Amino acid sequence: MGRLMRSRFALVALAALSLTLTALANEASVQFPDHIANCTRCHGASEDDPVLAIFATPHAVLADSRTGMADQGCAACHGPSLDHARLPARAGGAEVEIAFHGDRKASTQVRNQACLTCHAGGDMMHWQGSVHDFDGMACVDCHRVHQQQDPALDPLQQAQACTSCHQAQHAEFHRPFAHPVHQGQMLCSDCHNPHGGAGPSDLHAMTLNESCYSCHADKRGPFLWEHQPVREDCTLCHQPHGSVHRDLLAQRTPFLCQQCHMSQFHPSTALSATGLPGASIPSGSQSMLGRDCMNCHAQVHGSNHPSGVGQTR
Amino acid sequence: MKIRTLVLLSAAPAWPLAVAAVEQPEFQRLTQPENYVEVGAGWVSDESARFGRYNALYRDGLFAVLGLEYLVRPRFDDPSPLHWHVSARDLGLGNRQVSLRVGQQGRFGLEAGYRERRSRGGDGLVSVYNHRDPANLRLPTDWQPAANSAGMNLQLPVLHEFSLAQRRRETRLAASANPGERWQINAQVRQEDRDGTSLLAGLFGNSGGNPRAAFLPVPVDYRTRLFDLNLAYGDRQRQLRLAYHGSLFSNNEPQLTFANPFSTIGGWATGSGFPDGRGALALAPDNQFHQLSLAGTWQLRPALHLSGQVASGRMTQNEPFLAYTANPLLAQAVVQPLPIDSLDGRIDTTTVHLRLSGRNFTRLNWNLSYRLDDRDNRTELHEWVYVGGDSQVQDTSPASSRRRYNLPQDYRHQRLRLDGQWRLDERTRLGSTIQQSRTERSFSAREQVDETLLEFNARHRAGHRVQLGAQIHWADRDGSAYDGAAAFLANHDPAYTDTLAGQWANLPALRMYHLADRRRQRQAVSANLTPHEHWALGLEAARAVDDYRNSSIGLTESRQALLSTTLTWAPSNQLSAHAFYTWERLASDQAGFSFRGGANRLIDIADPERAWAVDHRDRIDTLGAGLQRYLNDGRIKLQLDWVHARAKAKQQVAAGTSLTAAALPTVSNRLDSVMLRASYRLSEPLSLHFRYWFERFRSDDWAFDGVGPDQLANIILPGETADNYRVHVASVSLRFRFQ
Repeated sequence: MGRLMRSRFALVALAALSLTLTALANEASVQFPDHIANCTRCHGASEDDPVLAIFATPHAVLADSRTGMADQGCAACHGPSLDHARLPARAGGAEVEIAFHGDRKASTQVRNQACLTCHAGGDMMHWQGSVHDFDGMACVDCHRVHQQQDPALDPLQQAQACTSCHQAQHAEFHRPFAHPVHQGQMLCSDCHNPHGGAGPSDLHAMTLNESCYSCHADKRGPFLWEHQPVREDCTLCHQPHGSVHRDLLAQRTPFLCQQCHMSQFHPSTALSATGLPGASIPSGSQSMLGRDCMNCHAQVHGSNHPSGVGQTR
Repeated sequence: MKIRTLVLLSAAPAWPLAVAAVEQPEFQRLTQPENYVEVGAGWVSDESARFGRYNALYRDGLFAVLGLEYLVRPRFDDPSPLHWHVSARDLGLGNRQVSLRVGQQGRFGLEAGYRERRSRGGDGLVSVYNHRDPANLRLPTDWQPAANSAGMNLQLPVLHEFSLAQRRRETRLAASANPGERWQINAQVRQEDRDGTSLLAGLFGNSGGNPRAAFLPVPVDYRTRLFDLNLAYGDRQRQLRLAYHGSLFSNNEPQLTFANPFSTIGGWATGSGFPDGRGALALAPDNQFHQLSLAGTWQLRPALHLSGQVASGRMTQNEPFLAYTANPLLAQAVVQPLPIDSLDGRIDTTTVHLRLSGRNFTRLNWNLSYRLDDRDNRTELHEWVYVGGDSQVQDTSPASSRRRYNLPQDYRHQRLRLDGQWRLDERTRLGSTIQQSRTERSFSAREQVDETLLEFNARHRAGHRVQLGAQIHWADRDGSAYDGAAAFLANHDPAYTDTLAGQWANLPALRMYHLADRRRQRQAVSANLTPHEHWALGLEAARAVDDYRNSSIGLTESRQALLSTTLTWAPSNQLSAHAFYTWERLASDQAGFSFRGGANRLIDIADPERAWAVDHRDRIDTLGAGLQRYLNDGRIKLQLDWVHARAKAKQQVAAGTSLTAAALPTVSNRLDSVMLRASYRLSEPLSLHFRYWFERFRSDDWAFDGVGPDQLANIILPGETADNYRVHVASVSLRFRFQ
């Protein structure tokens, strides 16, 4: 009898302790809705499974009905994965239906579709058939969803992320004359839309010159005296990512100019070291030293002066 | 047994919650925003415009390190999550930015931002003008003119020093709203004010005849306003976006007048030179661009998408013209006035981009795309009789070479492209592209240019450790008959061109490279190897040749070669390192032919010994390495980056026996950069950050080395020099983290 009483007392005490612990746990822990808690029981904060940071990102804002997380939890992106929930792969069961990384990751198409379910509009509108899509890239090749700061969207990390694949551009940015991408004053995404742009080379703007005018509106014109290649395509003379020659020019002037201008007298002159400074001052060719052709033809981007024929005014 | 069961059941409420829930401190650690205030100081060892070109560290001495990140974000399950974000970066430097964002995800967002950027083009430049009135440059009162620089005193303190420096200040306001789950409205207004000084040459006389020029500090005072308004709709099958983009550019300094520092020389009109002679430059005119666009994507079938964007825009410019000449004496002699007071320039743009993208075969992906870029120049064509370099009397004679016609050039480019990609199996893909494009231009040496492009590529993945790729690209461009005199004849009066032997300006054999027949070939191979889970090696090699096969004068061939390799080593999250090396060779060959005018014109072009050629050989080597290391359980973070970039540009000149030519020195640039960043977490909220940066740049350039303001007889140069610097930067700061 006494043993039975002691057992009942122990039972009541254990139940009370259990309820107390439960109450304490409610205060000292974060409660997830059931459809999310199913996952966070196993996937938490460990080094191998650092998934919880997603709750600090827009993807996990439950009040935003557009996020799949609100209704479907992790299954919105990873698939229902019922077999995985019953017995995970680590215990000999099934893998999650849509894995984004690792040896058992889903196909690129399946993984991207998980993103495109919500992100098919806006700047991602031209993704289908874009260069990166056609190359078989997955969204998660660049983006990190389970991190507070996605490196692809971080101004301080973006250039490094892009040039990890675009090695030629990486080298071009180190050329002596380049747009200040390495200095963090410009981003690749200032000009390019990696999800597919409407313009050439996936530019945001529909033409290359429109893209340049967004920062260099003074070059837009139209001018009274146009310089035809300038009006047509800035890259006919400039290398936007970087150049060996000043002003990001594709070739050193005056030779660049002479590739299109070969008329009588000075435009056709054979320019060489004979035009460099001699023993006396003044000496040297005005087509070679200083700003060479631009010593006189200052308005090479176009002139709006009635006497600006030849881009000299 | 029964009691044991009861015991387990009594404890049941606790364990599921204890497992399903996450400890609050751990959750906060993972989800708390990286809010911080950073305060510190830095030091720059030397003054260098080149080093500080874009980073605003062009002055030596101390600078402040000030930054702030403050994000207030409710917990993920907050029913009305209003978030705030204040960000301030580089407040102690000229490149500072501040932004404020507030919004509720899925409902609305507001943003205000300010950003300041500085660029530095050079210090210690000189001009003969004082800068009291930057739009009207005057000479010193005791200026002694001469026919050329030899007779002038072009030394300090007669010369005035100035810097090429510009500042951009951008203010941004943006708002977004989601009136329904499928609708979104975005609006953004940006205003950029750009001020500072640039550099242009002010010319007197004729550029080709007997020019005189002096470099001018040019005031920059621009304002650009950008407007964007987007209305977007999206459901699972289709997305649409209607957008307006406006760009309004205004220049508060639309003209620059300047005194003539040269005395009147032969060929100039009386009074053109010092002291009464004046010149004027028309600076960038106010302009506007307005564009309406409609973009959309439509999932026609589960594996068939149609996407596209259509835009219609208009560029306009109607800045009042300056007079033919700023020189009062010459202005009085103008007998044929300007045909109009302002250009009323207008270019209507139409751009179309359509793409049909299919995934409806198991192994085949394909794209069919069409692009149109049409620029209809609606500016009217007028007759002008210009005054050469503010030093010539207007010549209105019927055969005057000064009688010109502006050429409102139209441009239309169309491109049709088909891409296909065949997956042989999970590891191998083959791809090909065929593209046809046509470009039409008016007032051009070639009215129509066509190009056909073919491309083949292959990729193969051998297990998880090896990925290989190869690409072959071939394109051929030709077009309608090349008439190098077309623009020249349209630009001049027939009464003048009839007097010219051959009726051409550019040598008929010249082919401008953007219009010339061209055969382009490119081959590239790449390999990504992961020999071990900690190691990754990337290799890329490419070669390209542009053969301007029918160009005997002009650019005749260009070649590019690239070798690039990257190596990364990441044995753990605590340690990683990388190294890279890129080898580039750029080569191009151009041919020219020197000839005089007048009676010698036809004689000269019959002389094969007046031909010349320049072979350009550029070599660029870029190598670098980096290391990132966490120590002491993550309390210490070290990051080291090193870059060495070296570029050499050679021009090898050859000329016929009727000409003289000599070998040019090599132009070279060398950059060495080392940056060390270290941080030490003193306590949970406080960390110490240290940064050291060394950079050395050396360059040799024959156009500037030893070339002072008085180097050229006819041009007063600004005294630019090739860049050389050696700068150390160190900074230390404290970062306090908070929630």
